[in-house]
Amino acid sequence: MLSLVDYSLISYFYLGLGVFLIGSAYLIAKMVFMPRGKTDTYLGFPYLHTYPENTTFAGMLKNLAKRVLTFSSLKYERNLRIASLTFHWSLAVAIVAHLNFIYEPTLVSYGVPANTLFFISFLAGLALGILILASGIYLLVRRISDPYLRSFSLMADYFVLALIMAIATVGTLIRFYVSDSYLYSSVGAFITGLFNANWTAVPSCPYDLILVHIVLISTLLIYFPFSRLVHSFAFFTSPTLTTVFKRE
Amino acid sequence: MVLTQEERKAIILESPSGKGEEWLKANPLYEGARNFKMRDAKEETLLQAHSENRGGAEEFLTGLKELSGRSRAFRTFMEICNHCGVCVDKCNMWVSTGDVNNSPVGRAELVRRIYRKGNSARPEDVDLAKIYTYYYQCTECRRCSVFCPFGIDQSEITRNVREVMTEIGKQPDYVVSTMAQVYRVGNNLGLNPKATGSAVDFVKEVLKDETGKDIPIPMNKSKADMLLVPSSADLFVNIETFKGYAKYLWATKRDYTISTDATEAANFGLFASERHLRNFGDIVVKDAVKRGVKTVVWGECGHGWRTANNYVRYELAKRGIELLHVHQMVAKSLERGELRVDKSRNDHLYNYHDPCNYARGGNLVNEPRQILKGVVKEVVTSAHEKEETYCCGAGGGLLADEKQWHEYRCWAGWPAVHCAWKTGADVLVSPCAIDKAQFPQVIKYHKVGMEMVGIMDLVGNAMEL
Repeated sequence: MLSLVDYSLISYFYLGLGVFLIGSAYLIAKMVFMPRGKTDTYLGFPYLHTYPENTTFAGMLKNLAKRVLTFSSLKYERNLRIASLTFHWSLAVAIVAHLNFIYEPTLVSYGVPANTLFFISFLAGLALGILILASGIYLLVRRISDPYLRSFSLMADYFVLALIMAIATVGTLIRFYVSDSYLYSSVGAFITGLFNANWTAVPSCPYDLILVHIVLISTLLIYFPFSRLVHSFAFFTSPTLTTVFKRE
Repeated sequence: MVLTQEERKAIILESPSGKGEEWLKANPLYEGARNFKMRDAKEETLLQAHSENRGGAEEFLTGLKELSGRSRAFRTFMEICNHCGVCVDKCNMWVSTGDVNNSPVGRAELVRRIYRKGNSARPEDVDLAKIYTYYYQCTECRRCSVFCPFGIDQSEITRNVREVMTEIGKQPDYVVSTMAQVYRVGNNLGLNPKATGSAVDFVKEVLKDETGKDIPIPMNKSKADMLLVPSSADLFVNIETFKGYAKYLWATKRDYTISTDATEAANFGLFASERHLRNFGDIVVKDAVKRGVKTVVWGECGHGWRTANNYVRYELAKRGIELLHVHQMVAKSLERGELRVDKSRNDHLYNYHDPCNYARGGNLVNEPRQILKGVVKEVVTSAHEKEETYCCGAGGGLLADEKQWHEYRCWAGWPAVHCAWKTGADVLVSPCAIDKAQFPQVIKYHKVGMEMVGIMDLVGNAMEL
């Protein structure tokens, strides 16, 4: 039997997912379908040489990939580059690793020993959590300690970073406290249930960590399209990055 | 940030002029520079420059709203900034003033603050005086767009906001009076056809004295193959550059002419509004059509080449006329061996400074290097070259103000000169009319023992006639 808490949590999660998907699609569409100016680039200025690679379509994609995947634009900021690369990549890997809840039975049926899988997931979970926290703390300290950076930082900048770090902390604690078999049976069933409308009760956990984790994630999803997190769409909509410039 | 406050201080204190300490005292770290007030344009100058509408915060809000509905660049750049602060120390305006409002992100924040409020923005939220002050201190050099992880181009935001400012009649005197000159006589310096004629005659005489040959400079020919559009400063101040054009075009036997109606390669419309930019571009297009030329040859001018490339080129192409930069022609001629050059005549250590609007705003990066290799003995490269080049500190129209901005400009140009000075070169080469006016002042102010020349100066000097 599902309780009121379960129902509210599940609806809140769906609300978050809906706002995130629709909001993001709307934002990207709004930018992409905006007129590009008379000569098919932004404001009619096709002859720019900001990124020398951007003179062919393949070169543009290459430059974009280099910037997104390796943060090549931060080449003079060694510490910041390391910290933000760690932060973004750990976050990405951690999000993808959550798929393990859904695919774990399949992996085991392919002959991967369940014990090994649990062990890897335990170590990787802790390591990713610590990496996200450490790099997040660096980014936060950098923002607070630099007087220039502090002067144009908004509350929203601190809030998003703190929210992500809170999610990571709770996630790491869950990974630490909760046993493997429990995670993969009830939590796995709960998560799969969310996506095929076969709802189950929120798995119990010390200090209700799983509940807190999901509440925080849903909050982040709702906040996403209205916040600076839209910087993740920059690579689809930024005219400078996505334009193929002409060169004689 | 790469440049810590200490490193920024060190660059300023390294100035051989010894004025660094004084400047740092006047521009304390963190607390913002002294407030550089702009002089409003006079009513009559505004009228001459066809920008007569007067408005305030309310009109600014309307303009901003219209802008975010029309310009994808503006809208994206307003929304995706992450406040990571990577751009701050990349801006030479920040390096020289230490004012965070004078950095790309600080400048954008002045408008972003209003943009974020969306429809609930009130006229009280608009600090028009502050926006006016700082948006006219941007040199539109686009250095920030190279380093921004999302490619946010502050120059594009500046251009857009200045467009709104132009429509509401909020422009500083120096931009408007320069534009008014162009509307009145056709060039920034206000040279009328008679003055242009005597300037050309003077150059002819000097050439005859130096080379002993009659080098013709055809003027106002009704039919010609090429129309040479020099920067008006080349006729008057940078005569060496003009001699370079004349010698080169004569030696390669081109059928060209200059026109007293189209003597301006620069385009101050870039620093005000696209409306003016088009008007100024059309002056050249009209003249080229009138004389039935096949090619328009652009002289040495940084932002002029950017506008020519992106507006004039299309208007000319519609009428079957080609646009070339003089460097593109010279580079080809050198490649084909059409020129007899003697490198030993340029016997110095040269450092090439990429003008921002060639290296980032345009497409001229390799040609000037090819030419330099062909006409001088030794070139050294600096730490920040190609698309990472520093701005001269006088772009965006700042050059046009002689008195009030002199000291400010000398410091704004210091990072670029500092960079060239560190290479140990004794001559700074820059093929841009603004650089040629700005750098000698910076060099003199900071007592750096360097000289300043353009590329066509060197070509002209090295040519054996």
